[in-house]
Amino acid sequence: MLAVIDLSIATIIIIIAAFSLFSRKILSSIIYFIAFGLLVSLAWIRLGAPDVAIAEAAIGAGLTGALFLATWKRLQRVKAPETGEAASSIVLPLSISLLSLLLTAFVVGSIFNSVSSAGLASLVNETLPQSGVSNPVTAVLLNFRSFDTLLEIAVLFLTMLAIRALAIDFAIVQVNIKSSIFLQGILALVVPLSIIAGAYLLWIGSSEPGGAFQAGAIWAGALVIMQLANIKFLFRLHNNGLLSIGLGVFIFAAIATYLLTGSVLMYPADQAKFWILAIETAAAVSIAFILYELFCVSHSSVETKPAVSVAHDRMATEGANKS
Amino acid sequence: MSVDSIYFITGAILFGMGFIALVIRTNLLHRLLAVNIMGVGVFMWFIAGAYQHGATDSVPHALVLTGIVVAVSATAFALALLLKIHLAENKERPS
Repeated sequence: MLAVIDLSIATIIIIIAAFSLFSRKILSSIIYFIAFGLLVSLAWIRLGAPDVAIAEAAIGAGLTGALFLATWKRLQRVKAPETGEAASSIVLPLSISLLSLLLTAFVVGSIFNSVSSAGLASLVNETLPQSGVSNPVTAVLLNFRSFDTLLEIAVLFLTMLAIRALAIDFAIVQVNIKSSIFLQGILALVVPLSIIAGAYLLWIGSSEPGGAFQAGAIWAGALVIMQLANIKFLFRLHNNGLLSIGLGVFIFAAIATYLLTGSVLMYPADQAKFWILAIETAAAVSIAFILYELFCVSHSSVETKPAVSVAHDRMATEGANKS
Repeated sequence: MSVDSIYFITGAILFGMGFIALVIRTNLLHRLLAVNIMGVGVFMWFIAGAYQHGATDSVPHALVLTGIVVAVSATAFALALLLKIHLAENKERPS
């Protein structure tokens, strides 16, 4: 009986994905994609993966959607309006479709006789008490396979560097959202709540679903909202120290544990929880600021000055020319 | 029909549909969306595979978490490249 829920979730996921992939307008594709991400996170919950569900909702649906929307908005200014896709021959799409359907059929057929190994669940459960945390996903990420996570933070960091190196003029455009009592009220509620929610997820990550990535993603969301609403912060948000502290602390921990125990990221006995929490906190801060930076770059504009001051300058030069 | 096989098939269909869209759509933003949906199809395989063994297996969950973060990095980089391509072809007009 329970499979009815899963069948309907799966059907809706496929339908929304089809809308996202094959709708004519890009904007509706992106909006369907965000809805798709939220539905997929429901599927993750049904499959007993709440950690993945939180990350999917915050990063997969939220931030990826925001990135796509920001880029789409900017392309509107770059490109001539859409003229529709050029009609192409039907033969290639048809043959590709048949090929991929065959591939799908092959794959579906193979699953029913391929999965026979017991997986690593028992191994994880056996060694969980020594890992310092009681959430098995956090234990895998930051203890058993912490080297992978170190490299993952490095990937994030490198992406940020690569995007900066593309030299898309890095200037933040101030969006001219009229400040209203309504907007201020919403922000006063949403921003502190997401900061607290992120901190909670970071702390609870050692025993319950949550952790550095979910916390970082939610903080990044708060930063993006503040950016869109044009709120000034206490310090400059594009801070190189904050961007690199996660990778820095992780590498420092790798060296320190090597000196202490003789192998990289093998925490000293009974201190595992301290090490994991220290690394996670630094990583969450960096993840938040790197994701925010990624958003800002796609959202920035060629103009190096805010639109208002450009207009102001233009008026000033015109005035100078007249006189 | 068991729960995990439902999601195995869904993941395979998502991958297949994404692949079709990747080939037949011509707009780069559409293609990038297609790659993302193909990725979700693969993640669904991992999570459905983890669900099979009675107690859920945490290692695939951790792998998928890593995968989601790497996917968003790759997407952000691809979007920046895409923007660069369009800026090389056209001039941006001020809003």
